[in-house]
Amino acid sequence: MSLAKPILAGGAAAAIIAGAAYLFPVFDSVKGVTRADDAEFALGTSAFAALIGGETGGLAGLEKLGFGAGTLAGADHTMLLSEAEGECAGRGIYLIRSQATDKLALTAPHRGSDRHTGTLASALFLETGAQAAAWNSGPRRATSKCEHAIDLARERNHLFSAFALGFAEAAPDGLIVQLHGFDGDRRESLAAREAGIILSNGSEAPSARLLDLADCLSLAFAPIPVLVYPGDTGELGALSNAQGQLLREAGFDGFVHMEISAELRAALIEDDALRGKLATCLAEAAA
Amino acid sequence: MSLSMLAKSLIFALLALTSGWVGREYAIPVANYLTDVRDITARDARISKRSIAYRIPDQAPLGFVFSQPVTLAKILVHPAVSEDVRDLEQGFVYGIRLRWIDANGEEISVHDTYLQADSPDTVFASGEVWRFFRTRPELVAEQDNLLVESPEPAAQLEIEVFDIDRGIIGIDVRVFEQRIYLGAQSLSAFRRLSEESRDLLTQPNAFPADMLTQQEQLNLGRNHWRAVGPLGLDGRDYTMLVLYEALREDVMQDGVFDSGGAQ
Repeated sequence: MSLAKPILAGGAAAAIIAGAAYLFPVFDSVKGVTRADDAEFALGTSAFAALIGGETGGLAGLEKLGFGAGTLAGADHTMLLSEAEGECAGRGIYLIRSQATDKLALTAPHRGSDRHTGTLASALFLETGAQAAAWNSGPRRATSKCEHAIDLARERNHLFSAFALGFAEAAPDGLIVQLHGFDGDRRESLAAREAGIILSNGSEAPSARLLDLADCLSLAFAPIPVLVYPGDTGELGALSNAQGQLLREAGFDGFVHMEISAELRAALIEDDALRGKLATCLAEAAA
Repeated sequence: MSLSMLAKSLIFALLALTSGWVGREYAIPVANYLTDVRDITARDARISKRSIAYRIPDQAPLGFVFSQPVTLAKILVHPAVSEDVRDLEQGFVYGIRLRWIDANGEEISVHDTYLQADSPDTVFASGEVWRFFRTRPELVAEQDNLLVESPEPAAQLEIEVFDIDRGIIGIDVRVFEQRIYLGAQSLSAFRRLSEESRDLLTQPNAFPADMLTQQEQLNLGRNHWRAVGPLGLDGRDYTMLVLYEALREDVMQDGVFDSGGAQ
C-alpha cells in the first residue's frame, strides 16, 4: 500500500487515529475501477457475511475477488481487507472485528470528497465495539491526477454494496451508518443550512429506530440542530442511495444515512468528548 | 325463523355495519394515539418537526440569555400531564412568572400571567398539530404562543411556574429571540424558508407567498426567530426533552387540516 493520507486530529484522538492512517491510499494510485458482476457480487456478499459472522472461511472468497488480509495497529481482533499495493481498482477498504460488542458498521463512501468522514469512521470504529467498517479506495470524482473515479453511494454492483448486504445478513438487527458531509451554504432551506446533522434511512418513512438515534443525538449535541428527513427538512434524504435501496429490498431496517456539516465534522475530529457523544448514541442505537 | 327474529337480525346487522364504519373512521387513529407513541412512525402521523424543549424546575426559575439585548421574545409553552388526566374536560390552568433582567443583572420588570391549556385528548381530537414525547410517559397538553415585551432592552429572561393544576407533571418551554437582518437579508431568509413555513407566514395574507411583492416578502422575512438555550446544566437546572410535532395522517387524507395551529 502506498503513502498514507494526512490525518488531522488533536489530543488523545491523534494517537488513535494516527494508527489507522495507513488505511487510506492516496487516490492517484488508483489503476482503474472494478465493479462486480452477479457472481462476484454474490460471492462477495456471502464472504463478507461469513467473516462478519465470525467464520474465517469467508476470507478465501474475498481473496478470489482481489483482496488481501492484514491487521490494523491498535485494533485487536481486527482484519483489514484491502487490495494489494499497486493494484488498487477502487474495490474499497474494509475492517472486520471478530470480537465486536456493537452490531454496528461504520462506512464512508466519499472519503476524500466529504472531508474528514474517512477519518471520523476510523476513529469511531476504534473507539466503539463496532463490528465492521468500510471506505472507498478510489476518488468520488475524476481529477487531472486520477481519471479513475467511482461514486460508491450510487453503485449497486460493487463490493461496497456486497459488504452492506453481508453485514445485514450477519447482523440482521444491526446498524449500518453511512457518513457523509454537506456544505450548509449550498443548502436550499434555512433549516438544512443551519443543521449540524441530517439523518435519513433513505426513505420517506423514518423508522422508530432512526428517531431513537436522532433523539439521542439531539440531546447530546444541543443546541446544534439534528434534523430528520423528511419531517425536519426536505433535503438530503438519500432516496437514491444504492446501499439504502439494496438493504431495504433485503428487509433490513438498520440503514442510517448521516450527513454532517463541515463545522461539526471538524469539531468531531478535534474534540474527543464530542466524538464520544456520537459514539455513545451510535452504540445505543445498534444495541 | 320468526318475523321478529328476522327484524332483530336486520337491526343487529345494521348496528354491526354502523359500528364497523365508526370503528374504521375513528378507532384506528385513536387506537394509534392510545398505544405507545414511541412506535409512532410515518404510518400513523406525519412528523412535521422535532425540537428541544426545556422543563422548568419546581421552585426555581430558569434563565434564558439572549445573544444581544432584546425588547421582544417569543415563548412556546405547554404543560406535560399524567395519563390519568389526559381527557380532563376543563383542561389545565397554570401560572408563569416572567422576569426581565438587564446586562448588569438588575431586574427590569416582573410579569405574572395565568394560562389555560386544553387536554391532550382535546388537542388530538381537534386534528391540528399534535405534540408528544416518544420516550416519556407524560402527555402534552395545548401549547401557548406568547409574544412578550420588555420595557427596556434585556439580556436575560427568567421563567418561573406557580399555581399549577393537579395532574400537571411539568411545564416545558422554548424561548426565541428575533433574528436581526440587515438590508435585503430578510428577503433571502424568506426565500430560503420551506414551502410550509412560507405558507404559514403568509396565511393572514389574501395572496399566496409567490404572489407577494418583494417588499412584503422582505417584511415577512423579518418575522424569523432563533431558539435560545437556558442557563445551567441538563439534569441539574432543567430537563431537556425532544418534543415531536405531527399531523394525523387520517386528518390529512380527509383534507381538512388547518395549519393554523403550527408554530
